[in-house]
Amino acid sequence: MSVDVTQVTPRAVQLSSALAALADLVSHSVVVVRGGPGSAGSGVVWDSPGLVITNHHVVPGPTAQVVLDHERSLPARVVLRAPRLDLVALEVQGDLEVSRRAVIGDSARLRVGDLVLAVGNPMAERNAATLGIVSATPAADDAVLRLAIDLRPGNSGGALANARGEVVGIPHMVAGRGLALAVPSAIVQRFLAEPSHADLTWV
Amino acid sequence: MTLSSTPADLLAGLSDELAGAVARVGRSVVAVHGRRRVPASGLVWQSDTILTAAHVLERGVELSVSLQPEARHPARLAAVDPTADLALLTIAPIPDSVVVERAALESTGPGHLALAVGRPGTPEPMASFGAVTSTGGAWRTAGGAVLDTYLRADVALLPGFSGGVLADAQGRALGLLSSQLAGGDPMAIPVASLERRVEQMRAGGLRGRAYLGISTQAVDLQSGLRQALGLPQESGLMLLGLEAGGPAERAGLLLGDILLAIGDRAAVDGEALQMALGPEAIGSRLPLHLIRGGRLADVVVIPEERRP
Repeated sequence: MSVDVTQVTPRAVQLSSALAALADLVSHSVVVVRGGPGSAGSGVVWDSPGLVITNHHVVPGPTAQVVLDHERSLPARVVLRAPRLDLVALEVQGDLEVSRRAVIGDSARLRVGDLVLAVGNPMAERNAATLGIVSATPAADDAVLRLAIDLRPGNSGGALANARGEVVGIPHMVAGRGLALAVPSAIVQRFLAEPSHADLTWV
Repeated sequence: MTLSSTPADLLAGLSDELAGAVARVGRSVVAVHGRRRVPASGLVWQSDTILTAAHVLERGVELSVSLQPEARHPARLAAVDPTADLALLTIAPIPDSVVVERAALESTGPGHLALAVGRPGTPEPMASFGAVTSTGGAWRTAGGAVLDTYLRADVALLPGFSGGVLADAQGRALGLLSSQLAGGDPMAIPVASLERRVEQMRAGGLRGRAYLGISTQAVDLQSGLRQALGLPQESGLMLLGLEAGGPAERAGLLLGDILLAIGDRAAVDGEALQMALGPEAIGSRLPLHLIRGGRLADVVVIPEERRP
């Protein structure tokens, strides 16, 4: 197609800066979680005091270190665990600013084709942002959200945000080239609200 | 902390439009049940015609298509073109399906947004997202068909996406996707090329590739041999395998023969052999020029149609 190269494209520029603003917003709620020697993943500062959500496989033991920016590190302990859902709730000991708390979105409202942005710490890269879309929505009660997105292992436990910057899932598995799986935010909320229904091991 | 309303609205608007485009084109994308593993996808080309990838159909599997996994509609294989990896299925029109809206290749180009949409047996269409990488002219598919246009995009080909659609941001079809066109890379045959190819398939004018029943290895020819035989060319194709009862064996070819020319084409490498074995060679008397036991020889072979 013929393209007018003399014309500035305000919408593409706006879109680009909007994505950058979105990545910046989401990154405020993303932390590095060190679950043990050689085990590092990501975590999300959830919307209640001192609470960080990450994957079960990121924190195999009872405690972890939560690294904020500038390498400020806080100790944390596991308060809830659901291995089948691949979820862990950490209680952070120390000052976790209220401004870091994520706005939690409703994963049940996602449609195939909706834009999503994953923010995490793959390969020790801080706050790497990856753009993708929802490729299949979870059936009722299904704990899996499928995404057409190129994630890497350290994205596990990080934030999956919608176009409004609300966290709608926790990426936990790379399922092939361009395909990743996430735990929907609705499942995380239920895991926190009704532990007895969510395959829990109390620790 | 929240995003200021403008950028958030911009992204949310884009998100809405992409989801809308997937839903729109998704009405024209069916699941194709024609193999034992995960179903593939197909495109509602006309109300009674589904276009899909040839490689997703297995012999001996009852063919059907569906929008909803539990509502299978029987389908009949109307025509197949393994070289371009295309198959036409005939069906009774499916309620709730829509004939796909086509977009011209000229309406897109590198940098334009694109969606890959398939329905690998899922109740809803599945999608991936990216940009058009390149478009271009005549090319040869991995299966050997020469097509007049192509469309390449950096979308993920999820399992079962072959036979699915590459769509623009409005949910219009740009082309048909297959993982077998370019060695697993996301490549699509643009709709105008599809229209022409489908017409040829319907007219029965399309045949597969020609087949000799040989396997070969390119070899450098010794300079002494070249001088003795007065050969300008520096390489040939040595026969390492001969299918029992195949066209080449029936014509009297022997293991160790070194092919120098196929028809009027110098047999310098495997690509030259492939180019010589187009559909037009099927059933023709194809002269082979070769070296056998240090001497020149000529053999006429009659290629068969390659079985898919």
